[in-house]
Amino acid sequence: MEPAAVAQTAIGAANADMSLWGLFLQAHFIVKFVMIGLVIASVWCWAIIVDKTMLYARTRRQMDRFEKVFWSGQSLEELYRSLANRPNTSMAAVFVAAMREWKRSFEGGGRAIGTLNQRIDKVLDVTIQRELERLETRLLVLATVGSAGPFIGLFGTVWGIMSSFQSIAASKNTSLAVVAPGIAEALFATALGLLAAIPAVIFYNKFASEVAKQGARLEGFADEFSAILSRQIDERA
Amino acid sequence: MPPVRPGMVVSVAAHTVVLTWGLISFGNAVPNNAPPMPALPVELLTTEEFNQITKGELKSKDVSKPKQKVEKVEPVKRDPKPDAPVAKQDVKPNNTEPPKQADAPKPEPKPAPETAKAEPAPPAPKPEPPKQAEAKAPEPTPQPEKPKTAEKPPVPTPPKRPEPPKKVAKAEPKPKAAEEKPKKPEREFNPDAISALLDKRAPSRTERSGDEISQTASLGTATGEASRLSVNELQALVSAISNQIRPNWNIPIGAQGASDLLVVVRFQLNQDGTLSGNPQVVNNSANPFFSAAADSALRAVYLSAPFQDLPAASYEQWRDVQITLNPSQMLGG
Repeated sequence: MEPAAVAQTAIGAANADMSLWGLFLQAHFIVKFVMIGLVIASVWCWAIIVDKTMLYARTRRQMDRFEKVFWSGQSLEELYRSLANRPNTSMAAVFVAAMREWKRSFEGGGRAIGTLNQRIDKVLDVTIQRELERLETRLLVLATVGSAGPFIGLFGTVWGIMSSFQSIAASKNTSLAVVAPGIAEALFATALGLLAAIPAVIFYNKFASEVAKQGARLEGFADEFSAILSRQIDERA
Repeated sequence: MPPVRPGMVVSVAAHTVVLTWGLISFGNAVPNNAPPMPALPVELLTTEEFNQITKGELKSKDVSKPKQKVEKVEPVKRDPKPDAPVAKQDVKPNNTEPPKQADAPKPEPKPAPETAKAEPAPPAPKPEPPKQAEAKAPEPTPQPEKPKTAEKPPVPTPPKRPEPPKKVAKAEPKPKAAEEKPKKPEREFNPDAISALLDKRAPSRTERSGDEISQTASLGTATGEASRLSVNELQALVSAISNQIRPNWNIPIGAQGASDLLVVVRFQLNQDGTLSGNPQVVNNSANPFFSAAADSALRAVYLSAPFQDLPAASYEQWRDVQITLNPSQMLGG
């Protein structure tokens, strides 16, 4: 805030707009910039949070459904045929990738059976990595906002307090009416920073543990499936 | 991944709702209607100012005339006329006679004013206290009834006779007879009785003393303060005193480090500028010539008394003087 503006608001303290919108309008443009940035960060964080919550819930549901079908005694060939033609996620994707490698090896007349086990493991690993990556994307945004948000808000606060002290110096008046608007608007920036950062940190932790859980579940499934396939290979060989 | 990303939509909607709610609910700041704190008037006083207060106190019911604070009753009333003998009232008892008193007429003045009541000698005391003149009038009847008309001067004169001859002149016609009578017993000077005549009273404190004790000041004066000196006036006072001492101070010539021989002398003065009591050297020094310098400084103070040209109005300020004598200044000036 310009010193003159502060002096003006001090004089006209009675009609100074102390609502949130008023605070925003009175702020120095750098503080405004910080506030806008923090609001955008908050919007983005919540978008990610909503998306991820839905994604993880969906993934969990899909895994449950797939496991039920997989262990229902249905033929693997049939299952593969039903899944191969549509885009798959998580466990289904892992299953399809392994089955594809398996089928490819046997289409060639069963000549490449010796190292098939290793190839299948590789394919499983790669697919799991890809799936985890899909689960983890944009979690870093949450982490960044969570750690940097308070600092950004603090920057806005420091800037606002700085300019309000400048206006004290300029108006040579230390009455609270001169200082208060600047302080209030500066603290508003910190409030926004905390508002953005707190949910980001909480949900980042929640999502990180969720990803780890689902990754472990995928790994477990992949190991089991790999064991089944290698038994089949040994029987045929 | 499904192409629809509802997250952003939901988030923007939620933020809009929350911010709108914030704008409405925080609306305008509610002014804090706390009652204003009552202001307490506080006045800061220095010790000096506090001691000089003669201002009235709110609780005082006494509407007498303003007085300064007095902590102790003065044992003997001061004679309104500043005569040399009266000066001994504040004297601290010391057996060594100060050199100055040597030339003063010792035996005569002393007994009369101070120990008037105690002493058997003078029948004079009765007529003496001027105010009591009327009351005591019957007694000195043999003498002319006039002492009243003759006023105070004649009565106290006898003892002080040597000094104020004019007063005697005024009162001349009648009191002459009165004079003779008191004179006779006093004229005889008994050298053996000197010790009895010496002032043996305890040293008077440097507290404020006055006619009666008044711990609280009542009613007060217009200014609310006793007269006080500005820094300039104080410096003028100090330089006036030291200028009078300077010509009388003979510093031991050739003293090593003469410039270090600062001597701080303290002495009390009477209102007429004469010394009251003995001057003292307050400081000390390792310089071997210091005692010589100190003695000479004391001598200088004795020689310079009575001090001239000290403003009577600010007697309180120079009643007790402590002054630093600097040989280098003396030598230079």
